[in-house]
Amino acid sequence: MADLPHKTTPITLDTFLRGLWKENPVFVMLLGLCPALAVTNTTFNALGMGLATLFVLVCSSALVSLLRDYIPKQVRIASYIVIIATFVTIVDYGIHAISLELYNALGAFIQLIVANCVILGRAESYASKNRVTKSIINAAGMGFGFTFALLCLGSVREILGSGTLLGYPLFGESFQPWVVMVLPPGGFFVIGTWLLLFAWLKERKQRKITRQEEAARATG
Amino acid sequence: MNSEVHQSQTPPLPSSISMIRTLGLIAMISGLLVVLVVQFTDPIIKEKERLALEQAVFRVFPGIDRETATRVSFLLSQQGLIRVDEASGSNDANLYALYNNNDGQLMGIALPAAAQGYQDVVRTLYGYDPECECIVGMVITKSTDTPGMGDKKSVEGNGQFMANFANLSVRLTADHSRLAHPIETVKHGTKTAPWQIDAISGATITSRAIGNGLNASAMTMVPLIKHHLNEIKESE
Repeated sequence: MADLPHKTTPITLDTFLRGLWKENPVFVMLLGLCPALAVTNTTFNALGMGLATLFVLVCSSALVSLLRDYIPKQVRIASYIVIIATFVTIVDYGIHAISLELYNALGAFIQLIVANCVILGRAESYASKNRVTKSIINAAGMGFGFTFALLCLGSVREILGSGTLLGYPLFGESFQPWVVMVLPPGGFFVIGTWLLLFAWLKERKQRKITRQEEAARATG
Repeated sequence: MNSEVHQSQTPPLPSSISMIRTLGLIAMISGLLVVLVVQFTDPIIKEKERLALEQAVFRVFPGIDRETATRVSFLLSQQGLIRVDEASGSNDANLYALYNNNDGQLMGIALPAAAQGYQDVVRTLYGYDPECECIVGMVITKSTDTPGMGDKKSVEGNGQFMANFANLSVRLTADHSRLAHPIETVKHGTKTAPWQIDAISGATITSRAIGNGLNASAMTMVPLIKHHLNEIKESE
């Protein structure tokens, strides 16, 4: 934005990795859950939606950052939405041209990327305050983090719900698919389990750090 | 005193012209990008849709392929039969006829159908044989109903359900004005007549949507086809 001072902190690996792991939009910030639950009944759909969101995130962050000195604060949200909607329209036509099957499977959720709070949040809190390169790297991290989360959900749901991965059968004829996993309740079961796993990993790491600090204090 | 301090800290509002200029610039960039992408992707999308439709038409008639037959699209309505040129970008067709490449004889007629399903409209394409006055095949062109139950893959993979469409009666009344019996979808395992569809257990709404779509389409199209059959046969 025109009236905010630009931060000049250097670009580090953390700029990219933050969105991928520490601030993962789905597993840590619990953002963008609508497409995360709705279209992840197969790994292919999850990958398609993840890459579409990644494209919109990176392109909109780049353009917002590029125009940040010229966008008055009063019209910034309107400007961001127009920019995001532009790239969503591009991705909508792109997916339609690449794969009719994927386009039909994702349905209205492609157009609904406009309303994904991960993207508007990045534009408002990061791209509007940082240089273009840094904004792109950060948005790419967030986009890959979102794709990773969708893949985690999609692969588990497809394996259990259909007995396949990316359409390839994993089990024999005797496998009875857990149909509930490809239905909406399955999305909640799987995301709940992943959140539990992430919380456990986070707590274990915290306990390890505390133990190390206590040991250092005891020896020091 | 406080309000004076507050007023002195508030940055001045930018002029309306500057805000309009910014929004105008962004709208211009947006419009330019969208138009470029639409112009680039539109022919690709149309070609993909044409190929998908052609593939579906040939899937409706398992014994016929591109080597043996040519597809011609028509718009059939109360006003008459009009040949549709898809190369010009028109997608108004509601009847696809297959003609033998060797002798030009009519080999089959495919018709689109649609009805509201569980989540969205279920779109199908079915094959009609004017000789036996029956439906000889059906494929799903779009279904977003429950994955694993009512989606395209599950429905088309259900051999027992698909067998309903191998010889589904759409016989006309003696005066050729309407179907003798409307197509109806019945509960799984209760089919007794050749115009009935035995529903999929667990996907009754999708089964009904398919039946309703076929019935609505056949009610309108089959009498019209009967009326224009000679025209269709000679249109190749």
